Amino acid sequence: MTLEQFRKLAGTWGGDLGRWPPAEQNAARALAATQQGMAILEDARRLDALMAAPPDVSPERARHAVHAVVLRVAAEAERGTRRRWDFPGWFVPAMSVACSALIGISLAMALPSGEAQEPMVLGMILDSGSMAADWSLQ
Amino acid sequence: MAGSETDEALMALVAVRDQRAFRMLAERHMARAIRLAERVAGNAEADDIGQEAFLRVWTRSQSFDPASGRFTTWLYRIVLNLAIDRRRRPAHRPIEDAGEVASSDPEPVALLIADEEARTVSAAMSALPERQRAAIALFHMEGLSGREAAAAMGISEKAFESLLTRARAALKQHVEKTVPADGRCR
Repeated sequence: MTLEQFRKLAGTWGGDLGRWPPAEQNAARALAATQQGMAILEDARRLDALMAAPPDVSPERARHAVHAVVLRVAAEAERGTRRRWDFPGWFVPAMSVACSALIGISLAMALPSGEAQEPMVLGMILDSGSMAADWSLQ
Repeated sequence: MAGSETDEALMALVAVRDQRAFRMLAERHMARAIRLAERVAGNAEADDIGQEAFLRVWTRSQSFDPASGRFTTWLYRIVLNLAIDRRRRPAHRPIEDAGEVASSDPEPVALLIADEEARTVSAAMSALPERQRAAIALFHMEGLSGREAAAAMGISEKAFESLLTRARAALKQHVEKTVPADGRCR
């Protein structure tokens, strides 16, 4: 490795040889021990330190963001659950008609037919047992 | 649920709509997401981007494949996409506009110098194209290797190397104008 190649690599990967591509590290070590090599690495390290400083994110700031997103996710999850029970617009009227038809059919099948049975039919519907048989007695 | 579970194990739970696992992941990595967003898109947008990124973690949890990389790499990619997208919006505010309000408390000289240097670097970073900024943030601030950073950005290692070289050269030029060799800002 030439000094120019060494300088170029330091310009890309910085002053810490351990962060250079593994294939280059061994060849670079000999140059890193020379005075010129040391100066190049030192210069690169100075830039590294400036770039490595992260913006300050306080724990409170992070907590606030976590709280906000957790609330949003909970709302999203609830909307998803509700959506599972959402029926299309036609569903309720159609079900009402179907239920009415079923009740009608089952009543028609359960009730005896014929005029003679009329009082009994009325009795079944109105539960005449709970009424007095003769109003005049009251 | 133990706090020692790996990110990937928590993601498996998030995929089956476990909100506690999601909360743990967010608590673990929100600061990291905000930091990266701030480096790329600026202070004003960073918190929103952090939240939006985690919302995507929730909604797209089933597309995360632990076999193809770590959770943090996936998260970095989500944050970068959002940050770069916002940065490209025409109405964005420059990073300098969002500077922190200076404290009126007296500060030691060393802190003032460090603060000045940080401002210099921030100003230099804000002048870089967003992908170069992302390369610096991932490699230098987050400490990812070249390979990991390239994976987070969804580019080849060679392309990452080229981005990093250009970014460092531009920053060095800017910093050398303002920060002389003794490390003090002019």
